[in-house]
Amino acid sequence: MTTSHSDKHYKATEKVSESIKQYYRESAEAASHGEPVILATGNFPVELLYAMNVVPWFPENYSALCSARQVAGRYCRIAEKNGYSKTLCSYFKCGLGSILESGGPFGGTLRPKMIVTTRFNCIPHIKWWEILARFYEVPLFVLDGPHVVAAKMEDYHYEYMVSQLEDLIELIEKTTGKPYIQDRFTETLELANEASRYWRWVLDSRKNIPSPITLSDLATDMFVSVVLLGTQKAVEIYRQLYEEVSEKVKMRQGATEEKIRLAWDNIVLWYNLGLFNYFEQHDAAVIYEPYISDTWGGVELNINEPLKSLASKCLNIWANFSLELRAKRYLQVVKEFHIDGVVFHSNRACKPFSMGQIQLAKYLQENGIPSVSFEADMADPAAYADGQVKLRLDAFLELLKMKKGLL
Amino acid sequence: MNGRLMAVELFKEAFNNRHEIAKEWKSAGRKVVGHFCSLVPEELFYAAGILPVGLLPDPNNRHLGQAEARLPSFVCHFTKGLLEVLGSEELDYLDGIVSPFTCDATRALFGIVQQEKANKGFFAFIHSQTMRNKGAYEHNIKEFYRLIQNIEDYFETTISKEQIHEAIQIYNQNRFLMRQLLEKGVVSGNLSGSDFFEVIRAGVVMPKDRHNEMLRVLLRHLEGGRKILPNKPIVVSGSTLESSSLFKIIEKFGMPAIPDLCFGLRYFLEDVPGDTDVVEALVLHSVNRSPCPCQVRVAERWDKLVSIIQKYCASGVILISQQYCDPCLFEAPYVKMTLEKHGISCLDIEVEETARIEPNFEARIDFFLKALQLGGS
Repeated sequence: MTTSHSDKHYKATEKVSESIKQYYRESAEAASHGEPVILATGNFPVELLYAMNVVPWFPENYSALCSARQVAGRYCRIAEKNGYSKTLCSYFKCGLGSILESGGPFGGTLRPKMIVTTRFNCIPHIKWWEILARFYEVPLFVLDGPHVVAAKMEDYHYEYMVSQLEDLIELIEKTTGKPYIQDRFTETLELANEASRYWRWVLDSRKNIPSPITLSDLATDMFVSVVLLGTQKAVEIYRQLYEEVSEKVKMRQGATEEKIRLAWDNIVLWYNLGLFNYFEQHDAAVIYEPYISDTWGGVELNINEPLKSLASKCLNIWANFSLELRAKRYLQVVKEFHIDGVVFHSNRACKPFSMGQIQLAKYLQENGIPSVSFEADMADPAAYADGQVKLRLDAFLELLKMKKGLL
Repeated sequence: MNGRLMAVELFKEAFNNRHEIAKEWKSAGRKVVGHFCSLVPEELFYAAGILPVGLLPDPNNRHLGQAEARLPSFVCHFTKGLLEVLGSEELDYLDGIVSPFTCDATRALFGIVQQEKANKGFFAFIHSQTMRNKGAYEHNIKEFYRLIQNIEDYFETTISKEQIHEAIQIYNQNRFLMRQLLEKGVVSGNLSGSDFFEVIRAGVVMPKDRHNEMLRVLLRHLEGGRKILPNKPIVVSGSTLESSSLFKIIEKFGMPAIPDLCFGLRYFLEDVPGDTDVVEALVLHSVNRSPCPCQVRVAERWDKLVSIIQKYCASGVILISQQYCDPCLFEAPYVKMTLEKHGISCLDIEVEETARIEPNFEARIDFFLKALQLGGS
């Protein structure tokens, strides 16, 4: 197995890397001073948590961090030794393993006052968070909602989610002692919207040929959307990213030598982000991925209907899309982003992202878009075979180049 | 063959003839809808004259080539078996498929089948079982009405409250008879776990009124019957078993088996309440029935099971998880710990497929059951 970090193209991305360290240090410091910590799932409406002045902390993001620092495998084995099946989500196993060992980068998981999750994304979001709530003996809040976003959602689906978010606000007030202040909430949403506008622009800038930015940077940059949205810091970083990317667009410069334009399907390999540089070494740019663009894709919130808007945002994500919706979306982005082929990562740790990929590949093939698939794991390098994966990718890239008359 | 055995044979026959039963139903101009999960409010379909049938993999078919070509490797055998059977011509008679909010594999399976079977009706059913607050209750009421509307629209029919009431009565009768069979048959040692499994499995694929008649006959045959399993019962806990192979291993030790399974206790332990509006009653039942591993109420689920273990003096629990069944596998360590706190012996196994227990697992089960017989754990 050969894994490596990715080389970044932007100073703003370096700033994101710094902000990751800063976030984890500052969160730990705030917790040590008694500030209430809430553990949340990755697509929980973080804006609400910042508005209520609590410290949001994201176990999934932490597992991704552990993986990038090449310690996730060790923590996964600890969870397995404690009775958890090796087939379970590696984010979960890594997170739990580090808790059981009382270790991990930046001092490990922060002790929470309460725990919040969503029910509609995946089973691990329920079961893992239940385990955390039992471990820390703190209240668990589960945001419920439809688990398949199809063509038409009913109003009462959103009304139900809004009623739960109202309940959540009350529970946070009661559990943490932090009051809900309407003006602060509005201010947080405005900050989130400002950052999201920059972010959306950057994501869409990849429609340009050549693309000014690739997944090599964006896999790091997305941290801001997941963890910092609703803060001034998020606005500053994404504004800088926007300015740098704008310059490239003006100069018609690509992030890399770009002969092939690819979409990446599924969560990235956190222990091997260097794989995206491997594509670049072969003149291929990864310029679209539902994992970021259709999950943390810079959605603007309606300040006049904030809770409904938050509900809609966290519900309308790729993991919740029906297969039909996913297929339609792919056809749209293939056209808009001028994509030559799709790389499917069949992720052993994530069924919602992985099941249906075979059908999508077939659908794309019928529409003239070739794809390749390999099996691995988003956080645990034990399930990754570098040689085999690259053999497949090499053949795929060669095929695409031949198809474009480049060989 | 004595009366009890003959009565059980009829259930086995019914399951083996499940496709013929469905086709016979259709021959009278009626419809058949399949589902993968005991959370489906079957009464709503039954009320419309539609036969709801639980879809199960073919336990005799080991070849899953079609399904394996369409699913990732890391999906449970049950899901693969379902996709295999859905891809065959065997189930062409289905007019539709309904899926509630369950596990990740099931919802993906639903999406895949939905793409492949465009000529069928698909009913996604997304009720909440997470919380019992007012918002959840109101949401569920609306969701049940939406399901009724979807059934009415797709099948161009109407469903009256009287029809729902009648369906509830038939289904509640079925639940009552199944509980009777559990107590007078299984727990009393008069009916083996594998025979009980056959009875349940038949009930999932045939009209409930006919199943009720057969249950009454079986119960009559059990009256005053000879106890065939002298030892205390074992609880088998998991999701769905594809065959009775595990129960047959347990029987070798003279132990009855209580199935805490999707199509087991969870399917018949609680009645739909009768003292309120029928749709509200179905909602209340869906929220208050024994939760499954997919739901958030794990502590409640296990408190309930512990009380059942104590009530029926079960000697231990076999916790069986299918490989890649996330809901069960996430819970297993906690469940084991909870049971041990209560002094209940537990064997936790993760098997590739439940239809055939591999020799190494059989050896572990044998060892566990022997230890229980000797009074240890």
